[in-house]
Formats: sequence, C-alpha cells, structure tokens
Amino acid sequence: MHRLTTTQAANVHVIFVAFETLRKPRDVDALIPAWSLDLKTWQKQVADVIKEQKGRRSLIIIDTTNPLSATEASNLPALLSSFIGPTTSLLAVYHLDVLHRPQGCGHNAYAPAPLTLLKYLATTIFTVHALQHVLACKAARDRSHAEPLFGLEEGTEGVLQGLGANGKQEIVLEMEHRRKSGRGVREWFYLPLQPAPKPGVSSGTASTTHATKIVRSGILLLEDHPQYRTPEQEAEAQAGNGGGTFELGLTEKQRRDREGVVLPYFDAQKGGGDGGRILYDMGSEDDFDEDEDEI
Amino acid sequence: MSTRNRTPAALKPYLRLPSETSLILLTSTLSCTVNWLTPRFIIAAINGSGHGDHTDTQSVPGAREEGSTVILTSWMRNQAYWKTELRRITAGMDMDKVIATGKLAFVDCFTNLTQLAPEKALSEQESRITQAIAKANGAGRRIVLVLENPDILIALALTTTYDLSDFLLRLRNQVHSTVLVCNADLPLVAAATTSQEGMQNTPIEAETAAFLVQQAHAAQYVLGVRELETGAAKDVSGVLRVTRGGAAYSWDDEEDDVEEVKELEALYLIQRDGNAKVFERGTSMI
Repeated sequence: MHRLTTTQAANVHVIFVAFETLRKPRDVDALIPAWSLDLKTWQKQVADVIKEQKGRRSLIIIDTTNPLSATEASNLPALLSSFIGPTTSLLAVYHLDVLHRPQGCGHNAYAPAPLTLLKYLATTIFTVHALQHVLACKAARDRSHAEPLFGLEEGTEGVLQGLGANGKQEIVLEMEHRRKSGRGVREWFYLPLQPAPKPGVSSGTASTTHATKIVRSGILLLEDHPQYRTPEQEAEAQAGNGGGTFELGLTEKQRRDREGVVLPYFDAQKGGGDGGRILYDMGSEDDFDEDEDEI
Repeated sequence: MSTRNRTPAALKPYLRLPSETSLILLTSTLSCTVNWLTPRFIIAAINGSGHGDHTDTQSVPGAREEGSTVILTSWMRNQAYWKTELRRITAGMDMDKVIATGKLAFVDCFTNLTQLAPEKALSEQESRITQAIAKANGAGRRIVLVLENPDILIALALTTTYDLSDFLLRLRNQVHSTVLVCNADLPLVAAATTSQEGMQNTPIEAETAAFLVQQAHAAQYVLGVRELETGAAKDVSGVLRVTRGGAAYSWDDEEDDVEEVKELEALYLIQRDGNAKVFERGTSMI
C-alpha cells in the first residue's frame, strides 16, 4: 500500500487536498475536502489559500490523484501544473494498485495513461515498499529463487494485503530524482518511522510518535541496513579490515601492556615552563661533586 | 443478552470501537463468508468495548465503555435474516426490541433494489441512510455504520467506483466510524493485479477491483476470511487475516493512546450453535 507521511518543515504552509481523507491530519494548516466539492470550487479554494500566503512557501498535498486521473485524464498535467509556482511545491499520491479506468465516452484511447503523465511531470518519484517484503524478495534473489509475491499479486482468493504491509516501524523508499541537469538519481532508502526509544521510557509510550521527530531519527541507504546485507558482508563491515595480510589490531594483552608503559621524563612534558633544564635523579653510586657547575 | 464467552479472545482487540472517521473493511469469499464476523462487530458496538467483562485487562485506559448506536444497512440480506442471525449468535437477543430502544437501526437496501430506477437508486438509498443517522443522532450516542455489500451496486451497474466511494465518504462523514463488508473473490479483484495489466477487463471486474482496493487504502485495518489452501476441513472453517490498511498511518494526537492493532493470521471454526473459535495455526482449538 502506498502512502506518504508528511513532515512539516519550518515555516511551510501545508495545504491538504483530500479526496479520501475525512479528518485533518496533524501538522496540516488547511484541509480542503475536494471529495465533496466540484473541480472549479476546490481549485479556487486552493488558489485562494496560496494567495493568502503572500509568497510564504507552501506545500500542496493531494492524498490521492486516482479519482482525478479518472475524471480529468487528459487535463491532469495542466491541472496540477497550475498550482506549482516558485513558492509552491506539490506532493501527489497515486495508488498504483487502484485500477485506472477513464470515464466517459470522450476519452481518447490513444492518450497516455495518467500515471505515465504524472511520472513525466514529477521531479522526484517515491515508491513505498514494506521492509519485510523487500527483505523476502532479496533473500529469494540471493538464492536465485523466484521472488515471492504479496497481497493481491499472491493470487490467493480472499487476500487483499500481504502480512507485513503498512508496518509502523519502518518503510523502504525507492527514490527517483531528476536533477536540473537532466541526470537522474535512483536510490533505495530505509526510513524508520519510530524514533529509537529513549532510555528510561518504556516502549509503550515511545510509540507516541510525532511526525516531525520521525525523519531526524535516521534515514539510511537500504544497502547499509544490517538486515539487507548478507551475513558475509555484515561480518566484513563489522571487522572494518581492508583484507590485508598484516594484523593491524592489538590483542587484549598487548593493549594492556602498552597502556602500562611510562614514557621517559613524563613529568617534563607536563612542563616546568622555565626553559631548558637537566633533570637528574641521583643514584646511590653517584658521588656528588661540589666543584662542578651548579645544575 | 449475555455475549460473554461468545467472542473469541483473539478477536476482542479488533472489535473495540475504532477511532473517529475510521473505516474497517471486512472481506468475504464465496467459500468462506464473513457473516459470522459482522454480527460480532454489531454486538460489540452496541454493548460498548467493556462488554460488561471487567476482567478484560487488555482494554485501554479511557477506552470507550459506553455503547454506540449501530445503523445496519444491507444490500444483500433483509431484516428477517439479521434477526435470526443476531439471536443465534447472542443466544436470545431480540433485534426488534433492540431497535425499539434506539440502539440499532436497520436500513433495508436489499428488498427493492432491483425495482429502483438506476439513476435514482443511489440518491434514494443515501437519503434513507441519512435519515436513519439523523434520527439516531438525537440519542447522543456515537454512531457506528455497518454497510453490508454495497459493492453489489457496481455489479448491478447502478453506480461507478468513484460515485460509490463519494457516497461512502458522505456517509462516513456523518458517523463515528464505519464497518464495510465486501466480497473479495479472485475474479472481483484480479483486474487490479499487474499480471492483468493491459488486458481488457469487463467493466464490472475493473470497477469492483478498483473500488475494493481503494477502500483498503482508506481502511484502518482489513479483516479478510478465506478458505484453507487445502480445502474444507472438519475442524477448520477458514483462515482469518487481519492486516493494517492504508489509513493505519493517520497520526493524530488523539490516537496516540490507542494501541496499534496487531496483524493476525489465524484459523477459525464456526460450531453448529454459531459459536466461533479463533486459534493459531498448528494449535488444536480444544
């Protein structure tokens, strides 16, 4: 299931255009119930809210573009682009598994699918995966097995979702970002959704997650995730050894011996600060000569 | 009206009154119907999460103990069916009496379904359900809406996916929470899989699949029943799977104290008296 959570960055006005959400999500400044309004009305409401911001940065979130792509199939790019400006960004969610079926007889059979248009329009595309499913697929790939299928794809009667979907602990993000230069960046990320439990706080109360805390708690590349590596890679990463023929480390005894060594003239290094001096401890066999120059 | 011992312990966390505006999706298949689960949701909502069972340590502090008003709307069955079914499961609950107390309302969208003009069907039914909600609103109890098989409207070509989901949103907006019962047989959902991409599906296949998947996206959790992979068995009626739906992520301040609903895959057995047992795979239910 594909679903995005939002974080509110500092001083960004968040406008939520709801097609399937009834209650205002946390951190959202304006909720526009587009499901109950016609196209012109909610378009105007969004435009009005943006105008009110007078140049303050705003983020428009559309909770699903599937109904729009059915009713406004040919008009979709123009419609969405009309909101985007120098101070406005748009985050639109498209459910990949909701079947697209354009409505009306006026539909052009030769027009590209809405998803194709949306992907063409987008600067960044995030596809959300469940970690459990990604790991299971990788384990199968590593052993050259066929990758398992989940949810609807399982083809089991009565199964809508695979177990492990929509985990609240973590998700995997597949990112495709198009730079201005035209070069694309493709990367897979691991995103924990729960901050690490603080010491002294029971795990039960740690689940009181605030959306803004979530991202700070550490996004990392999927290939750096301990569970994604094979045990061999993991052991290698733990050892941190380049694989040379020398033993660069120390044994425990060597380390203790090294710590026990007292460097010569250690107190001199603490510094007397009065220039060069000769420090000499008289031994029992030394014969003190009064005639010699004073030390 | 004792319901004690009639609700399997493993099911109790899922029968608690869910958070505001939430949707719970129950899916059924031809060989395994979810009919045994729907009445349990109705009874749990009417009686409140406490069930009068104070030893239930699982209940969250501050959990809503008081009951709700249930508005049961069926596109598949009439009131006589529900009367028998509720009496059987609760061992003696009289549906007519509960309706008289205002804790339950039944909206029959089944009986005249085929006699309605297609263009009027949806609006006529919506106004009847809205009336029932308005009537129940006066009582000051929370309202739980149970919708049984509105997906039949798509199969009868009385509506389309997006009209029906707007219809549901309008209704959901008026009540505390909604339980939606749908059929999820393979032919009804297969159109949504990638293997079917580019294939010409019939409108009913495509529309039903789109509707069902869309509702799963909007659902807080999905409870699906299906047949055992190995077919029918004497001591197992079917498999129950509970998964988190697409709306499991709605982080609201109010929801912070609500425990996360755990995923579950378990077997169940419906006995001749209507009693249900839910047990882990591999364990004996006795």
